[in-house]
Amino acid sequence: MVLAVRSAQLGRAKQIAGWLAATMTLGTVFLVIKGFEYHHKWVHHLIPGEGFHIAGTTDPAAQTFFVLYFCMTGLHALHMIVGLGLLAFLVPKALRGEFSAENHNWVEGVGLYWHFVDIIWIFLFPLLYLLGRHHA
Amino acid sequence: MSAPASPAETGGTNYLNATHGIGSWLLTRDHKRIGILYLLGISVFFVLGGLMAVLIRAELATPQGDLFSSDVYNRLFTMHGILMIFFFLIPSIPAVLGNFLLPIMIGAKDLAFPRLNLAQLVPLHDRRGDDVRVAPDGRHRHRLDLLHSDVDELRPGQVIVTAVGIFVAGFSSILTGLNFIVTIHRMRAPGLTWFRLPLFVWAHYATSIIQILGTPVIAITILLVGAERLFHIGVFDPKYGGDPVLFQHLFWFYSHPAVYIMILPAMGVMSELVTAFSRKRVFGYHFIAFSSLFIAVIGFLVWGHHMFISGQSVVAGAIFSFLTMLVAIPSAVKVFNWTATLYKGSISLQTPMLYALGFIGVFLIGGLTGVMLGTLGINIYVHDTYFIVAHFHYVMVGSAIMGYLGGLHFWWPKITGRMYNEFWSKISAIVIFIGFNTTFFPQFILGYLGMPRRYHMYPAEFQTWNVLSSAGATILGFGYLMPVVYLLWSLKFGAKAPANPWGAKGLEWETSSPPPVLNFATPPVVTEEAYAYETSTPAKEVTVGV
Amino acid sequence: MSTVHVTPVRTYLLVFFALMALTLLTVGAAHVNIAHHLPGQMTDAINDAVAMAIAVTKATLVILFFMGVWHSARINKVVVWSSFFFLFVLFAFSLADYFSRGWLGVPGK
Repeated sequence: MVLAVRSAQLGRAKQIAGWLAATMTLGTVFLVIKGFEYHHKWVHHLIPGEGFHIAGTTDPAAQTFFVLYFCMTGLHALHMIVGLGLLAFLVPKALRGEFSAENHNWVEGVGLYWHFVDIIWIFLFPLLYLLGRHHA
Repeated sequence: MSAPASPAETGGTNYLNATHGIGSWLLTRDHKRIGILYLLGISVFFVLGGLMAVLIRAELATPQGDLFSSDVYNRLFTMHGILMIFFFLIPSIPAVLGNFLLPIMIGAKDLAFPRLNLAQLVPLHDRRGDDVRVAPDGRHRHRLDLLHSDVDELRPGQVIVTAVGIFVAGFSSILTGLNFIVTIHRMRAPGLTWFRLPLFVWAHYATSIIQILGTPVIAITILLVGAERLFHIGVFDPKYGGDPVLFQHLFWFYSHPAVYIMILPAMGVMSELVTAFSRKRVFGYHFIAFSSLFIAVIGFLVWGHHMFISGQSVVAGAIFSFLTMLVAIPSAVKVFNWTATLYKGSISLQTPMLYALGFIGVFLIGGLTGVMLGTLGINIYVHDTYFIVAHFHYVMVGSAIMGYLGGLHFWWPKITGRMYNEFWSKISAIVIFIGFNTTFFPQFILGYLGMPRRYHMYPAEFQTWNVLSSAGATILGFGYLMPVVYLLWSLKFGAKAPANPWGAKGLEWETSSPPPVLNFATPPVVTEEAYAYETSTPAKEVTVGV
Repeated sequence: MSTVHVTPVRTYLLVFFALMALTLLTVGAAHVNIAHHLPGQMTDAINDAVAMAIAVTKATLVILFFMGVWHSARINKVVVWSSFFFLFVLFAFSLADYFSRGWLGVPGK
């Protein structure tokens, strides 16, 4: 993503599209992995609610954890989908050469958005996947 | 500075008559027309909310519940609160006066994102519809409870609709804030440095910061409430393992700063009025400007003072109590600076100035009782009594509405190009002041005596004060009706307003009344600081120097 | 929009590798019970603190370089950092309530 912004700053129109597409690819891979993860949770009855069941504990906190897990990762994924939509909107614009060194606020703005969603993941990853691991 | 553009220069067209037809209004990108649309919308809601207040006071005139059942009474004051706060007070000054004046005051053609500005109007009116439809069916007591756990009899669908309404409206709020901030940063006229900005603009800048920082928190809270309702997952509701105190934290993190969204713009209006009618440079410009920002910052540090009797820890309560005291500093800075501006000014008591003086008195009482309430011990004693009701009405009704009406009277000639009747407007300003104090001062006493809020019946010994309060409400009601009449009358029969009827300073007075579509015939250039009254009228300096 | 600072690709690569290295570090750190390896009375919370410290570092890198705050105008820096400050206030003050419950022995508080 930053490389797309950089290309835009330098006015290299074709490169912008390339880097944007690369960003989209990586973003999609992330979402696909997330999809498998959700499927796995589904199969193991880890969706909070009536059918929630986890082996070896009846602690309500376990369910609360999965509530937070789904709320946080779900919102993050939602924002990524929005981001992918924005990127998909930018690629044809870039191919048509609409961005130049003087005019690339769109690329810049979407870049800021994308990295912001990034930062969220930086915090979610240790919070949801790593904390408490050392007990295991 | 550029000379006022005469109608001849602009060819007699202005933003009001440039295009015609209802479509040209509803789809306009002109910030001035959008301001007018807001004015129409919020006036309707003000009248509705006012009618409910009248019904409430009528019920409270006697100790028995002779007009309404407790259930109907609950709905009445819930709707009164929702309408007045969310549909009138919060949009009043920023959306009407702010939208109209902010670009003109900084010499811009429009806001930075005119289309966004129109776009934010739509969700606001949309959610109004939502909430108004839903709330009368509900049994909630106010919004906090609406989203809270003790409203199970409320059908989940209603909570969801209301939540969606608030969520969408949140975007409206964020977009307005964003728009104002970007406009102030990037679109100032040449020569208009930060410290030459009118204080009205500074106040709106601080308000916008609050809107941008606070609103996302209420949005995510509402999202969680929605998830809890739909999927029965435990976030706030103890039944599912959630924590209601957490809800209060998140709710008040937004909602406390939100009260400053109501009062800060009114303070901005005040700074304009006091200087204009004292013919004097504002005292301590920098202090007033920064006190607005300081209020915005401190506003985010004090939310716990709403939670003294919740499950919050005593230590946190004590810290919040201390931080709450800090709010008194910037508020007092403003009050002292306004009074110092009056000192030895050549004061003319025209209608807007009457409102301004009323504001200072009323705000002083509201602010000082705020300090009392911020004190942990006193708060626990008067919590949920009429003392609280009186306090927030002094600040929100007394101060914010006086600021709004003062500003509306001050800029009415600019907005409509017509003068209103000075005699009747003065009478109404005085009637409102008397009516307001008669209504709400007795409530301080009632609260101190221990009358709890939110009940439609009360012990007979409280009746005297309640009758007084209801009588005041009647006076206040007449006071609010008068402007409706004479302002509408002025549209048809009022004298044509000159470009600068008050002889005031500021870019908005340099353009014609009403302004042309692009605000200025020639883009203005600013060469002096704000409120440079002494420099242009040297004769005054002699009297000031005595 | 007069002068836009163009960051060299090398910087971006360096930041990228730093982020990857920190990710590996935080995964590694999560599997070690740090409190056991330190003298004195340490609680398990030290693990959480380390993970969060690494996350803050990574976020700072992203903000400074990928979001270009390092080279932006001072007013933008103020805006960015003050936003995070208020986020911190939200978390810190709310948690302060939860942590300080029961300190003064008032029932239910």
